[in-house]
Amino acid sequence: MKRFLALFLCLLMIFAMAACGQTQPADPAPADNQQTEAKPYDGVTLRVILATHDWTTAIEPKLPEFEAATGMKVEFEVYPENQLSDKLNVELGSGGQYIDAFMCRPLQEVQQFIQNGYLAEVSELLADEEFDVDDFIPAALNGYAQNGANDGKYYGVPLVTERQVLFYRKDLLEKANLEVPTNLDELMAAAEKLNGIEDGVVGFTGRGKGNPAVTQFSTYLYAFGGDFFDFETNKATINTPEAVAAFEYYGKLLRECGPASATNMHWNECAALYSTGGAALCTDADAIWQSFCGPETEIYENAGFAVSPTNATWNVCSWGLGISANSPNKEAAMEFVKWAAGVEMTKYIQTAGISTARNSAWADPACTANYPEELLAAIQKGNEIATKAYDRPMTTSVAQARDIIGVVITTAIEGGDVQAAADKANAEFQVVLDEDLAARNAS
Amino acid sequence: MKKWIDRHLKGIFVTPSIIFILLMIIVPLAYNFIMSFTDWQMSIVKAPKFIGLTNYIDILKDERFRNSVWRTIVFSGVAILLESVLGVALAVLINRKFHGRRLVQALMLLPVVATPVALGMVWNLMLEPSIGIGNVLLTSLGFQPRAFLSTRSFESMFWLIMIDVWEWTPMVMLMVYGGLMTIPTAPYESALIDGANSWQTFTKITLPLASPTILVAVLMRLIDVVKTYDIIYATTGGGPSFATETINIYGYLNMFSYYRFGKAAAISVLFFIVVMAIGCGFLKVKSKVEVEY
Repeated sequence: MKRFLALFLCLLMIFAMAACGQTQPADPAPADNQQTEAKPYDGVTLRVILATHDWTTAIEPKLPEFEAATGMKVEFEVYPENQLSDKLNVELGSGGQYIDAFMCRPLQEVQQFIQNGYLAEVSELLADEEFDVDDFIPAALNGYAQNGANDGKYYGVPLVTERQVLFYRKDLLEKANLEVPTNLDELMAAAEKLNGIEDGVVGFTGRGKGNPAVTQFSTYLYAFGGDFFDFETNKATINTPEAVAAFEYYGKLLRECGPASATNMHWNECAALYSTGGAALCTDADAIWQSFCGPETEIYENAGFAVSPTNATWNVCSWGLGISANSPNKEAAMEFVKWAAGVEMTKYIQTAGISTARNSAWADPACTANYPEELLAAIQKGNEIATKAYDRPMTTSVAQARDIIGVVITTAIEGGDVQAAADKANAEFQVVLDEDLAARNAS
Repeated sequence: MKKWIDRHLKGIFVTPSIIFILLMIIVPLAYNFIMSFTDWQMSIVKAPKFIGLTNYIDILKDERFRNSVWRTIVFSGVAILLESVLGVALAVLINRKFHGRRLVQALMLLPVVATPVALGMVWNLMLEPSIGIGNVLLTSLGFQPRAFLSTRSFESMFWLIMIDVWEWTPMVMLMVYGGLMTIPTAPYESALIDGANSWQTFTKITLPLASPTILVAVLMRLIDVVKTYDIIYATTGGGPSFATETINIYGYLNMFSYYRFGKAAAISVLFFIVVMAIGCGFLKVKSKVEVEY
């Protein structure tokens, strides 16, 4: 009996370990026994590391078609954002010869990746007419140029874009007899009025957890006339009167009209609260609208969308695809990227409700048919008015900068001395900027 | 040949473990130590540059590091104190015969065997101020809702300590219970005859005789609690705004978020020295206590 139990436990452990690996071997290509002609990439196996994202879910079922056409085998490994970052850092930092292609965030880590030599240059792919590089939203593609340089060298291609929109509850606004807020004063007034309109409903929710909050706070910062730092002089500007006013506004909004846990909320906590009817208003990225108020949420019927009341939204590329500089299968990896970010696949993905980075997909009405009308209008308006292509400091050490700026956001939400926190953060941020500049000059 | 094997049998048997320790512990430690004197930012095109003690000087000047040291001390100190006292008390309780003792033992061990990250996520959800069960309970009992882990005040650290105590006290209990079982019944019987009360038996017999096991349990917990990472990572990640950032979390962020490999390596070297010092100090104390009795 004991032996049997031991054997059973061992087997259980092995299965559990196998399940933890999360490797998702792609389904074998459809059997095609008659076909004998050699395919261009027969025998090549690509290892592609992707983020848990709607884009990944949408492309996965299409993979067998690509494998059948090219003969290569593509293995997807899918990880949540943070684990993906850790995985990439470790593997790429130790050479990256076992990774072929991977998803990465142009505004978050790509600059560091380029500086560290992790990413292969993809000019060859961009020169391919079939790939139609001019179809990409220019700002999105530019995220893959080193420090935004206009030298024609790109280290990846964009996949997903986003703008900040306002999510609002139609039923609650009607109940409070309110119009959709179109500027910051109206937003504050509406949030105050809607706060507690029903039991357990807060007026406004938004990211308040230091580091993650920075991207959504940025439109407020821009609306007040501030910015993270001056590109020309490389001087931090998060303690200017404009910036402090923005911190105070955002802090007050969340402190007085937001949930009690505001300072611990990333977008998924906000989405959990909003999608279950716990908040009346929310500003976040349009790309994740399905988590906030998609057809599978409780509030889909009453989901309203509008352009962000800050009127200072950005148009940013949140995710793209890169190729490992030391991949032994670079050519095959290029072929994969060409397919995954190509015009045809992009249109297919846009049809699934994911905001892509190609103009042709946005221009084709068939591709946007699945978007709620109001959301599409808000996105198009957002595209028109977007003045910036970044939602976080455009430097190399983005995570460190976000951590530093996040402290001021937390202080503002808690009602502390914002000016003092901003002064301190500004000095710390300046050190990071100086270090980054020195590293850039050295490389 | 056979003779040679016979003569070196002892050495041959331990060789595999020595090789294992060398490869898995000594080599990484040495590599980490060397890297702590470089400015490596994990680049694969730019070789690490030797910068001497710069990383160490930077760290000691760094306010965020000093705060994280302080938080590590507070977290470990309070957690280890509560875990030892509660662990010993529970062990004494469980050492008495009562109905359903085995069931209670098994139930108490559940937190120890569960995965810490999963536990962290569950606690995070329970202590979520808006939708968590913690505030539902508090408000239904007539108390004010609390921010739990969502505040920069000491409260978030307090709850983290509570989670650690909840999770690891049964471990201390189990080890001390093992020690209690080895105490012979004779001293208790003679104490009973001499008219000692239960407090006297506890302080004069149980505690001294179980002290070696208690000290080992506390030492093992102490080293573990100083290194606590999983629970903090899964609940607050060191936030809000560094309020629960311990040395471990700060080191992790430097390495994986900030790409400061050299600095992270220096932090782990300092941390390693601290943990070693605690361990050695404690072993000294332990040997003294053991001689006394």
